[in-house]
Amino acid sequence: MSKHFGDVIAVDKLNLEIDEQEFLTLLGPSGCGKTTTLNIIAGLEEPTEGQVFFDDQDVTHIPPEQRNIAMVFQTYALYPHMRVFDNIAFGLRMRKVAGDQIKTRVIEAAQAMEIENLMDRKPRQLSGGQRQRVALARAIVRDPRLFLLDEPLSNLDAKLRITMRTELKRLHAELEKTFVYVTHDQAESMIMSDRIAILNEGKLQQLDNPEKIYNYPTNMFIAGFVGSPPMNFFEAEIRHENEKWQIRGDGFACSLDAETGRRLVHNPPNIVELGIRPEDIGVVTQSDTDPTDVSAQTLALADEYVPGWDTSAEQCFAKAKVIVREPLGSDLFLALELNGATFKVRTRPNIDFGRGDIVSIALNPAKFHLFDPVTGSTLLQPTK
Amino acid sequence: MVKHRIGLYLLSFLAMLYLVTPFLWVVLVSFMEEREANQHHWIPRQPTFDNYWPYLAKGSVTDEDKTAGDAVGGFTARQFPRAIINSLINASLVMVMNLFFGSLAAYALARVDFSGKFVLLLFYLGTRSVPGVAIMVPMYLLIRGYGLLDTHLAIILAHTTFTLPFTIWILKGYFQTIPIDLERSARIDGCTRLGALFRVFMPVATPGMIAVGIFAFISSWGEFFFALLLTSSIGSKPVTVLISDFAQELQVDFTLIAAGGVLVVLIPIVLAFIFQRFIIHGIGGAVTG
Repeated sequence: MSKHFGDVIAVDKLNLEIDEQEFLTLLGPSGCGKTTTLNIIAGLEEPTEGQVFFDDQDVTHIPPEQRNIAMVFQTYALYPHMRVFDNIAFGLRMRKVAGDQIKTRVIEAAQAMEIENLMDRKPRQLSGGQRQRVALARAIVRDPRLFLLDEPLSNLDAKLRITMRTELKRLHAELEKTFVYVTHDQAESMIMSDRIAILNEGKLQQLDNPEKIYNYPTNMFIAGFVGSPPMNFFEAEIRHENEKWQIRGDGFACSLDAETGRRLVHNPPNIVELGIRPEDIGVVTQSDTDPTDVSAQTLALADEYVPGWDTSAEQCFAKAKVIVREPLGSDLFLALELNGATFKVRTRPNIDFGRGDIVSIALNPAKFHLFDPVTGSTLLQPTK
Repeated sequence: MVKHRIGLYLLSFLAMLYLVTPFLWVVLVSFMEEREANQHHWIPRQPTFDNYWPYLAKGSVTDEDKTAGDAVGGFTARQFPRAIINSLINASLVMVMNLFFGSLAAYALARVDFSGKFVLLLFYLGTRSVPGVAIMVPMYLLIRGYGLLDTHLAIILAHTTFTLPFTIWILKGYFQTIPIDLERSARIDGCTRLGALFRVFMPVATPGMIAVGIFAFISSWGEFFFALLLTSSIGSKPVTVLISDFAQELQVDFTLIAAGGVLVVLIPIVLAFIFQRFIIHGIGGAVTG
């Protein structure tokens, strides 16, 4: 399916199959085509080419009022001239449901969303969170075959957002219906989805469950988009020597681990982009009490370490300078600088390196991601 | 700090006085007798309704039935009810035309992207910058060509022409403040496009529509120039033109004119008063939840 607005290609040949009762998220930056796609699924827009099917039915040209779907908008879109009760009842009235049935179902939906005491209020008398619940009640009361949600939590404050994420997940499990969810918040999508469809510039980047997307991103865009703080990237060289793949960057060198070496594509380029997440870089400190810390032996190794090709080192040490210290309470992030490259490392909160200190770090080769510097695609084939 | 406040209130009071006093004086004069009015004092010592009766008097209003007693403006006054009715008819229909065509145009301009949209908007704006005097002759000839001189339709068409561009501009801006998600939500809930328009959009757009409608009404009611140009007989003369007829009388009681002035302005003032809440909201923008 494609959607063009004049010369602008909002959605580019998208192929997507959504499973029954799945919670699928369309994730991507602003302007990537996710809301347009959702609108096309809803029938609010028609695709320029391609089709939309609900089960076996071609609904491409069927107007939204006949698709039996429900949608929750970022702005909630509550009818300002009606009370909460009438807002929720509106859809049922349009479908000519009997009066007393309407009452029962509306109250049921309101109780499910814990807003039964707000029925007589007008939308402008409600808080953001309450409006959100009304919008959800309005969606669930109609018992539609499909739920579409367009960034419904974006207008809520941070704390409420986190609570509502859990709410929505619970709702999805209870209702056992298909949810299609649009967001630009990658954390949200990771927490809530069964599968995530990542879009960029109208094209589908990857469709997978959250774990696979996080651990096996298929290109640099996905790798950098998902995960907070984002993945670090280094320019590096690889070569094959003595039956082993080795990698060298500006200030570090080691062998690739066996699994990564196996997954590497045929004839990879010499120069690659090495991606590694902040939590996969360890800070080497003297500590034998914390098992996650690199041990004192390693500390010695790290101190002697001189980067060069002739290493069969299984660990990838480097020495970098601390630029910023970012304590988060449960974690500590250090922004480091290594020969001009800046990157972030996640470590234990009680490590006391500060700005200007030189630290020894160890990059975990088992967690290396390798990308083609020109195309951005991964150079690692998926694991079987 | 209290001093500041007092200064502000004083200034506001003076400004209000400046604006209201002339009209207040007219109202007071309308309750005086002629000789009192010439004495330059404010409060009528002997208030009287006498100046208002001629406007409500019964009697024929055709030109042939002028009597001697009408010389002091009584004839003009007697034509008043008819003129008020003319004004009401004109202003109401101008309001209806504005609301109907204006809202349709504004909705399209607010919601639909089409080529030439910007040019069209500039065109509307441009029509407002043409002075009435410049087109008075072509307008007259056009109306005469259609045989519409001295009819209600002539005034309604002329007034609609002048008020519609402004209506469209205001409504377009107002409609744009109404989130499109409301109509989308209504469609998802089961309304057709038109259903969404009437059940959801219109109710939310009502304050703006009322404001624009009142404005069109008042604009038409108070218009003098083209009304004068296009009408001649009492069958279609609106009240603004009738008042000017006082100038043709031999000698007129100023108090009589004052009463007439009050009556003319009364209706728009009452309307504006009733609908002031909508006017304020309407120009501001839609309130949504």
